[in-house]
Amino acid sequence: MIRMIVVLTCVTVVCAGSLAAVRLATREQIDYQQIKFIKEPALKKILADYENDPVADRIQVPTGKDARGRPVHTTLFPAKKGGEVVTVVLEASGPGYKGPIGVMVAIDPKNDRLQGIAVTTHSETPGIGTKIIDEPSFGAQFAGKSLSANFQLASAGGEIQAISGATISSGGVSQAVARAVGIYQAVKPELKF
Amino acid sequence: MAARIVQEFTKGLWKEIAPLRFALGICSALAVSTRVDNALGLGIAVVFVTCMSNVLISLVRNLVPDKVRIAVFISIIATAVVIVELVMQAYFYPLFLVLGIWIPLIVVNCIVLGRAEAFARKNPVALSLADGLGMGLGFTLSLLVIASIREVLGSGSWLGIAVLPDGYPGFGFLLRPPGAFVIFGVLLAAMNVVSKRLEKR
Repeated sequence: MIRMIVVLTCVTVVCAGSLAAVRLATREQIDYQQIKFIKEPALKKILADYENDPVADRIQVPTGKDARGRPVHTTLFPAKKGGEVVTVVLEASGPGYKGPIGVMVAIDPKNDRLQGIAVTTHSETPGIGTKIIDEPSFGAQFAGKSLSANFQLASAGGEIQAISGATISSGGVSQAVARAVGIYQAVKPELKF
Repeated sequence: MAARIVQEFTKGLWKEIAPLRFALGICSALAVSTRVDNALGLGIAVVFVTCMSNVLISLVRNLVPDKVRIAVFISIIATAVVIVELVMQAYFYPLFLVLGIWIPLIVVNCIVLGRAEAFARKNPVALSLADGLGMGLGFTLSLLVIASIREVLGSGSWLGIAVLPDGYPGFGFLLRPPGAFVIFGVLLAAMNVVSKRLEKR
């Protein structure tokens, strides 16, 4: 009886220990792979010209705290050309029709202008809310805008023309962009490129 | 001893090839055998698990009381499987996305526990390793044969390279689960015919 308990305990302890070790050893690589395969397609869409691996060069910056008081981090992806950072990409989300809409926002750090946006995750109605992706002219509105622009919809006094029939989804995207810009401006003084 | 090791290794490749002789482990085998590269990925994962579990179980075989042996075996097997899963996630992420649930399900693959119960708990480490390697490779081999037939006839390619002329319409039935069963049944029949012929000689 005692032998059974001792053997089982020892075996499970060794198993758990080795799993913890493997988990620790592979953690960074797994994070990298997940970002690489999930975020990189969106990155490629909005970044035109760069020479580095923005996923490997990513930086995490603290951006406030969540409801439980734990620090929240935002990941910035710097795109470099000739050793200089030409674009900073970050992701933020805004409320859509059926859930959060994640948007990647590319910012030109020298001129403080947007270079482009791309929707990453969403659960909008196919054919209606998904027009935010299917109609390129909607996303194209953001390119070239100054960071101080008003990213609200035109109906709320801003500069963004909503897609008719997809106002809520359009609003989610514009809120996500406004949030990303807000985060960027808050952390900008701490960034050293 | 050396002859015995070779014998334990080779039995898994033909005489006791698990999926095609005993119809063991066919659940995952049929599910991932639509493409040769996926079959190869799952096969390698299973080889690693059978080797590691057989060796470890053989090492502890005299320490483990009979009543808790299954619990001990499953803990060891599950550990091996999670290691495979983490490594695959870290270095072969696209393959991990494709194989998905079939990797954790190796834990309940009857070949792995079957070899632990039937072989590794009664035999020394070297023999158990040979047995695990042979059984794992036998599983991989069966998977590769099924996947080759399904991929070539089903989508006209092998390992992603087109082998049939352009305009081959594809035999979609073979890529679906019922097609897997048909191919599997034909292979079983063929194996039996060949074995009988060989025995008669």
